[in-house]
Amino acid sequence: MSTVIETRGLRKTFGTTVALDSLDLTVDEGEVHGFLGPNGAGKSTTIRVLLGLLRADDGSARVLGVDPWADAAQLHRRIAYVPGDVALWPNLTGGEVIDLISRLRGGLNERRRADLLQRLDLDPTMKCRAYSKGNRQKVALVAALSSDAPLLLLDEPTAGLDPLMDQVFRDTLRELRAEGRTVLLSSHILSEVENLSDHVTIIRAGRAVQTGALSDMRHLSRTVVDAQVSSPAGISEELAVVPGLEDLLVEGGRVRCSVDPLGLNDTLAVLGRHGLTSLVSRPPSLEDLFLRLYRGEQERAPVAQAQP
Amino acid sequence: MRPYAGLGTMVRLALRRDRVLIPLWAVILPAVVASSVAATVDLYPDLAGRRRAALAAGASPAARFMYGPVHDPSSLGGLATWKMGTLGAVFIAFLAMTVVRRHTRTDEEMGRLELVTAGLLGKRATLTAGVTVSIAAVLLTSLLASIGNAAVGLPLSGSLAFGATWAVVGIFFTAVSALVAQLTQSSRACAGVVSAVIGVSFAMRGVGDVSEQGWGRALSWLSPIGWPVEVRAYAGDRWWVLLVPLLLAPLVLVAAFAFQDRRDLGEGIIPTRPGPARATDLLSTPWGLAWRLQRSMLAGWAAGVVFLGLVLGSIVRNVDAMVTPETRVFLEKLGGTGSLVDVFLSVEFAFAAMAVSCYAIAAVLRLSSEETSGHAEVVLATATARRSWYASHVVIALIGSALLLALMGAAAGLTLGVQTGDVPGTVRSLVAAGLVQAPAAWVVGGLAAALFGAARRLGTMAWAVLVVFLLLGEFGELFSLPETVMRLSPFAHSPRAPAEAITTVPVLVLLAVALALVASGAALLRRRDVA
Repeated sequence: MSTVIETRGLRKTFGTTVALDSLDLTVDEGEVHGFLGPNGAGKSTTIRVLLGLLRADDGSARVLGVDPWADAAQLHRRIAYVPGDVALWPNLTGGEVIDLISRLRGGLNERRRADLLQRLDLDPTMKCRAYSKGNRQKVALVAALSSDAPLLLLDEPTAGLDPLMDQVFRDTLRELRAEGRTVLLSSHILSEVENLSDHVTIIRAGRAVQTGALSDMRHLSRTVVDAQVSSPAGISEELAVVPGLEDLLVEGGRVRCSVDPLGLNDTLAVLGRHGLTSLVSRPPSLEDLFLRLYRGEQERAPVAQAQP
Repeated sequence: MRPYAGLGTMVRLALRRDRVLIPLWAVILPAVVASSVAATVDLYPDLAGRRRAALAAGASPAARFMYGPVHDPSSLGGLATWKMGTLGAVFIAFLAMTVVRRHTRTDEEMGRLELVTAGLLGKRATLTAGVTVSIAAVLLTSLLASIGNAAVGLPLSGSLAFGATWAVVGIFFTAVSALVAQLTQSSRACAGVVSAVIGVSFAMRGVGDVSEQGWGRALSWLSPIGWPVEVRAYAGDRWWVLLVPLLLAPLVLVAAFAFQDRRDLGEGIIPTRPGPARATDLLSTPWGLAWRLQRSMLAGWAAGVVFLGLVLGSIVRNVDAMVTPETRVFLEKLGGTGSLVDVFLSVEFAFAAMAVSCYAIAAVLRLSSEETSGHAEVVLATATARRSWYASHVVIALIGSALLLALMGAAAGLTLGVQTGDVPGTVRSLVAAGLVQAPAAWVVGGLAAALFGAARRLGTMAWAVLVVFLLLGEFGELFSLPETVMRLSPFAHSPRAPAEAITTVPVLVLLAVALALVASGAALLRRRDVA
């Protein structure tokens, strides 16, 4: 398996703002790579450097074996891109824009174009001026997803899509992965990429804080539990000994904690014994993750003391 | 909700955004007038000298077309503010258009208005704020002009009348811009339509002021740019003329608000219609896209220059009949050896070169707005090289400029040729006279391209440079600037055809400069961040 994207020590500043600070990113061929980070972390800047639109101040970037800054136009024949903020010409129709982008890149898959237009429920005869944000996003998605490019760079592609259309997007992305295409998928929402991605890189303040296969990241598979029990007496002590349980907070009948897959069964058993009346469980948010990563970087002790 | 709720906030927001633009205009325009008045006083210290200068100035049909007649040769103020009365009115009209458009249609197109209208904002607040700020800017500029002129020694009453002419033109075009902003859907179209109204007004006034009497004279009175001339500041101060724009402006404003009340946010008066589902073969290359984006502006300008050419060609023969034998001798001494008709035409072509330079800048700076809007990112993420994207817009701008000048020559040649009986010959010679001006316009377009290549935000500096070139041409002699400074302007190098023979060396030099500028823009663009 060869490497499709590789950056080493990428640095980019805008005036005094450091957008990228020694960013390392590796994406292998055929994988859907989740590129996660909060707003302003440097995701879009990275993608623009990978496209050769921005020049890195320092470090190296290679995309499909070439330097994007030196060889942008040639490289772009093999890349389909959906910008984070899709801006289209107000007096062209959506259909015209799809054709234009595809032709400028060097061709598109007609069957998939028609199929996506229909599945995404997009009217190609409307002027872009009249499209909503979601519809502009769809135009860019149809242009990118119906290309035969081996690499797709998608910058928060589902922002603005409703859940139904989001599902169409996910299905299409799985088809592309089955065809062996490589996808870099940026997002600030963990749950958005976790079903689609094999690998993720998490960036914050222009720096990759964690990267690897999703299955290797145990903290990503944790569950955040928010429960209400009728008889909370003694529950803190019982939960404290459950393996893999952390961040415990008990306030009256309200119990919150995060737990890894090993301890989930025990946790639910304890909650059940104390008269469970309501239960909300969700995957950890990116914010939870950062909190944990920070704690990993610093000392655990002071944070733990802050807990009751 | 009350229709004007939030007006104060919107006015403050607009003032905050215009805190550089408005003071700059408000200081520079009056400063140009006051300093040219001071220079005129120095240049013609005695009445006899002034009279001679005023008579000569007023007698030249080309000058009358550009600036209007000199009403009272013995009036110092009349002579000193002669050029800036008319030119200033044009500048003020553009100021009003710029301010109103920025805060109404541009905001609406960008979606910014949606952001603020969703708050506690009355339906009429934004348009009212745009109009208010524009009128305030106009009044400030006019007041400073009156004060400046009085301060350098002109009579107070005339100075007030002079400022008042600028004020009413500004108010009138504020109203016109407010109306057009309601009718057009894009900010670009709004600028195009208002500019066309200003251009046609200017041309109508020109024809009116060249014609001594009859139907032609009436054109002056129908033109908003003609009213300031008719006020005759420093030469009788006919205040009552100001009533014309002051009565018309409110009517136009009422229409603007009526249209605004009846349309949806983001829409013009003509609703968006569906278009083709597939792109034509034209939209397959960056060139096809650039042409699609540029063609309507070029078509608008083409209509404008053809109109101007037809008008000039048809009135130029009257010029000969108007002039007394003594002035003819005087003028031929001033304007070289050509016939009066040729002198008139060469002055107009030089003027057209400056106007077409505006087209060149606007067309080149489409690159800049494409980059700001994010459209450039979409194109440059495809297999389109930066130089192709750059070249597609710049080449259209340069070829378009030459085409406009040739069209104007052809149109003038047609109407003049019909009168002289030699259509092909006249068309040929006037197309050449137009084309020979193109390299100067290319230098200006090339400058815009080079500045844009260096940095996106620098591109608009080309407008400032063009204004400097224009001022050098208009006032350089008055200020007795050294020859080398005056020759910084590319327009100083263009042959004055058809009055003078077309010389190749200056044309080739301008051509080389233009090419060097365009090439350096491409090289600079390769080196910088885009988007």
